[in-house]
Amino acid sequence: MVNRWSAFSCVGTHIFLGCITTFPLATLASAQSAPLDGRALFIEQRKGNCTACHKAPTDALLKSASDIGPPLESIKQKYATPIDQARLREVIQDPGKINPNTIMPPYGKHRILSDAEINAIVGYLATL
Amino acid sequence: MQSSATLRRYSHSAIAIALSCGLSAGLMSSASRAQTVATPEQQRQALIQFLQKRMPGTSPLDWVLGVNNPSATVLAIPLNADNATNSADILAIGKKNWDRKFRNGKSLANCFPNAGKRVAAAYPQFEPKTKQVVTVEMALNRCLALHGEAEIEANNTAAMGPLSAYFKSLSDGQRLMVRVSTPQAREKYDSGLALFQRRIGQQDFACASCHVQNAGKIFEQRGLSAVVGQAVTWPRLQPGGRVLGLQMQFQRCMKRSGAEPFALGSEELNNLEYFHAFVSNGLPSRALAVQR
Repeated sequence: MVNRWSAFSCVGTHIFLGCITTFPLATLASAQSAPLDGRALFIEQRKGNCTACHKAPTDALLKSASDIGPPLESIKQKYATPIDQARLREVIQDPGKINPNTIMPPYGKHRILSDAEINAIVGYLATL
Repeated sequence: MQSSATLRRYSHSAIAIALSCGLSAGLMSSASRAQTVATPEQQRQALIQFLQKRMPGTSPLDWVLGVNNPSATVLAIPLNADNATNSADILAIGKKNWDRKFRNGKSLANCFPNAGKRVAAAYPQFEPKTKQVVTVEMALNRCLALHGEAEIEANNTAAMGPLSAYFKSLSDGQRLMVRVSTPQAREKYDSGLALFQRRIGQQDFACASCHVQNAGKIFEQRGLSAVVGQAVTWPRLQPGGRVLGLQMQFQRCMKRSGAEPFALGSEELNNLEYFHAFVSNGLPSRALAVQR
């Protein structure tokens, strides 16, 4: 089910950009009760697809040659405090706010990921 | 010798092309100003300089077949003895259609100067009479219509693919020489450039995000090619013998950005192809030179 607000958001995108988004904008993850798999969301092409641009050198099972974004490592140290982690969530939510030149998709702003999915990915990043 | 002011303007233009995919309003307006100041040729040169800084030691000729990143799995594979048969088959089908006599006894060769030889490298062209950009596919269809023959639907790749490939193969080795020589033509070029730079879809990518700003880098384990050099090897042959046109690749990229693509042959994609081909001017054309 696509909620009404998301549907309006899709129409807005159509008018503003002269195009129609093809992927469903709403995610229902927040309605799920089972814990979300942050690592799976990190990898999944239609979700985070993070390995498209980043390496995750400390995840031995993830092989990526991508070099568009910085390698994701020592995240636990880099984003140690709750304030840092909130900042990391903001980066994933709308990276263009921090760096207008970035090509990282606005995962939250464009409803690629729900808040719960972003939290799950942040949780996985903390293990790297 | 170029003045430092001129170089600054070129440089600004290159940065505009590279980075203006959804930047702040201030920078976008600066980019627009730079676009109106620089000629298309100055913009092309600035783009080449920008890309050479991104990929040191390379030249536009090196970008034709893909990227120069040793760790990348390059998408474009040059045709070789193993797949040349497919290419020859496609061109044979195209030649058969090219040579076919119309009901009035004419053929496609009658519609083009020099019977179509060494012509396609000048496409797309701006047509002053209709004030629109004419692609190779449009020119072929116009000829068919002029002689009372059925036009080929834009998405009928089985028919248009081999025919456009053969027509373009008559210009193999010719250097691309797309002209933007009037203010009306410049409007179409600018429109194509604007779409090239515009962020679209749920993923918020612009063409420039990948093929200028990150050209030579690796995305989804594949090398990102530079926009300069991309236009000369179309159409391309895919495994299985399907011919992929340049505008079909534009559509793929738009879908990849989470956007509904513009239609094949639409004014938007025609203008985008016009800009796209112009920046590859001077590079030798080679139909079906690579497969993806």
